[in-house]
Amino acid sequence: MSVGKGQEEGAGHPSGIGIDIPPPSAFLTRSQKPKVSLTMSVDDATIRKVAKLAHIAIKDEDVHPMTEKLNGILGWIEQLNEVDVDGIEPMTTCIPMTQPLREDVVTDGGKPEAVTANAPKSDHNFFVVPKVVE
Amino acid sequence: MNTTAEKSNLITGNTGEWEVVIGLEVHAQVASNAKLFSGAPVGFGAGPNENVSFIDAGMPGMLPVINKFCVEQAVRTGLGLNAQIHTRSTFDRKNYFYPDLPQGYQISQFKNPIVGEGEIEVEREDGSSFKVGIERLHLEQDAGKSIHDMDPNATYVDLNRSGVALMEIVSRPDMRSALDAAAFVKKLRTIVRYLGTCDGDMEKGNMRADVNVSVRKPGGPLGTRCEIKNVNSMSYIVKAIEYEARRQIEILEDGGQIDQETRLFNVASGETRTMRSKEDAHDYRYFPDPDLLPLELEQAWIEEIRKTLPELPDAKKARLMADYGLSAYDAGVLVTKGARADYFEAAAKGRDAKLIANWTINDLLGRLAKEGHDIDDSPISAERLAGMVALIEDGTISSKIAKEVFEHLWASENTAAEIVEKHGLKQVTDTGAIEKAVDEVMAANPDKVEQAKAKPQLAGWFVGQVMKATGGKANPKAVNDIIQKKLGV
Repeated sequence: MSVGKGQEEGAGHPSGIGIDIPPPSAFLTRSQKPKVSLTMSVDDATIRKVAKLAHIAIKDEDVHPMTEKLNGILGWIEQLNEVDVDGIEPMTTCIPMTQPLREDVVTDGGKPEAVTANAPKSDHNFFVVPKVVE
Repeated sequence: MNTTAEKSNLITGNTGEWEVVIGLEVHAQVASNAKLFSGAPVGFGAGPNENVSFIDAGMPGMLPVINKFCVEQAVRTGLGLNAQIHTRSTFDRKNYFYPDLPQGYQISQFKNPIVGEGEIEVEREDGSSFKVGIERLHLEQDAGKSIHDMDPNATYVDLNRSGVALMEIVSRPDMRSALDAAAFVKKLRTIVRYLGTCDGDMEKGNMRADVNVSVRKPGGPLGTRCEIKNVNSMSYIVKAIEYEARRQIEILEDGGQIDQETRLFNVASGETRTMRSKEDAHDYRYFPDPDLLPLELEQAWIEEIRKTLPELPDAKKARLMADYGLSAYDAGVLVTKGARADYFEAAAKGRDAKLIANWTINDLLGRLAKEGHDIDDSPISAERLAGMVALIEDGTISSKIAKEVFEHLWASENTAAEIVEKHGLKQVTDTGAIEKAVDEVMAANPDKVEQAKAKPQLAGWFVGQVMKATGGKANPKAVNDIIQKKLGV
C-alpha cells in the first residue's frame, strides 16, 4: 500500500511492507495545518503486536521507523477531530445503496479440482497444509 | 439479570458455597439450499471441496452477495425469540488466521446485528420454568473443516462448510446450573425446529454451543469467565460446565486466579483444557466489511414474515392444557416436537384426550425412545392408536388387554378391532361366564375360601386366579364384584 508520492523513499524496505507516507503536512495547504495536539499514537510494542496479529514478519531494525511512519499517518488523520460531528450518524459506506439480495438457489460448486488447482499441495481434492497443532 | 441460584444449585467447596454463572452462544446452521454469500450448495456428506465456490475458498476478487432466504430465517428466528428486529444491520470482518478460514477473516455482524434483545421461557424437567434473556442474534459464516488424522505430518482441509450461514444466538448470563443451560439449549432447539429455520441436529454439528462459565460467591460480583468452545450435545454441555465450575472453584480456593481464556472440552476424559493462549485470543480487530453494504429491511416484509410464524411451543402447550385438559407435564412432553403434538391432536379427535396422552407418552414414545426413535418413526399411526383407545372407552377391552393389543399394533398393520377379533381378546362382561369361572376357582380351593372369608383382603388372590383362568379377558371390576358377593365380604 502506498499513499500518493514518496514511493521511492521506502522502496528499499527489507520488510517488504512498503507503507510509505509523506509527512502529514505534504497534503495540506498552510491554512489547513493541524491545530489540535497529536494525541493518537502508537509505540514500538504496538507495532510488534499488530505485525504479529497480521502474520507479517518485521525485522527489529524496521520496528522503530515503522512506528514513526504510522504516527505520522495517525497525526495526519488526527485532524479529523477538528470537525464537529455531533449528531451525525457514522458513515460506513459512501454509496447511497443498500445490499442486494440473492435467491436461495444453488448456482455454484461441484468443481473441487478447480478450487484446489492453485493450492501448493492437495490430495484427493483436500487442501493439504502443514500440521496444525491445536 | 442478577438472579441468584436456588439453594440446590449451589456447589459446595472447601470454603463454602459457590454459584455458577452461565451464558451461551449457540450457533444454529440456517436450513438453506445455498450458502450465506455464495451459490454453492449446503449439505452433509458431499465429497471434499465439492460444495465450494471461489467465494468460499477466499479467492482474490470474489465478491459476496447475501442470500435473501438466510436473512429471512434470521428474522423469523428473532421473531420466535420475542426479539427486536433491526431494520438496519451491518457486516464486519472478524480477523484471525486458521487454515480452514481461507479469507483470513470471518464475515460476521459485530456492531449492528440483525436481531437485538429478546427473551424466552425455559422449562426444567420437574415442570418449573425460568426466563433467559437473549442478547442478540447475528448472521455469520461458518468455517471449513480441518482433519488432523489423515496424515501424521499434515492437516487436510475441506471447505464444504466454509461460508454456510450460521445464526449465532447469544444469551444473557442468566443460567445458574448445568442442567438449566442444557434446558435452555433444548428449548432453543425446539423453537428453531418449530420455525423450520434450523434442523437442530447437534450430531451433524448443525447446532453447537460455546459455553461461558464463571463462578462467584452467591450474590457476589461476577467472576472471570472461561469460554468452552464448540460443545455439541446436551450431555456434553452438562459435563463441561460441571467440570469447569469445579476447576475454577478449586483454583480460587487455593488462592489462585482465573485467567480469561478459551477452552476445549475433551469428550473422552470429560475435562476442559486451554485451547489458545490468552494473549491475543480475542484481538479480532473487527472492522466494517467494505464488500458489503448495510442490510436494510422493510418493516412490511418483517410483518409478512411474522404472519407466517407457526404456533410456537409455549402457545401450543397452553392450548393443549386448555383444550384437552392435559397436565403441564404431559403438554410439555408433547410440544417438545411439533410432530408429537400433531400426532396427539390427530389421535385425540373425538376420544378421551387424557387416555390418548397417556398411551402416546408412556407407551408409544417410551417404546420409541428405547429404540432410539421419535414419533416420526412410529409404526403405529395416530388413527390406529385412536382405534384402540376407542375399544377401551366402550369396554370392549380392558386397559390390561390393551397392552397386548398395543404390541400387535406395533408389530402389524392391522387395526385394533381386527387384532381383538383375530386373537379373541374381547373383554368378557357376561356375568354368567365370569360367575362360572369364579365358582370353578373356589371349588378347587376350599381352604382359600375359608381364609378369605375371615380375611377379606385375601379376595385379591381370587381376582388374580379368575383373570388368569379367563386369559385376562374378564372385566376386572365385574370379577371383583362377583367374588366379593360370593365370599360375603
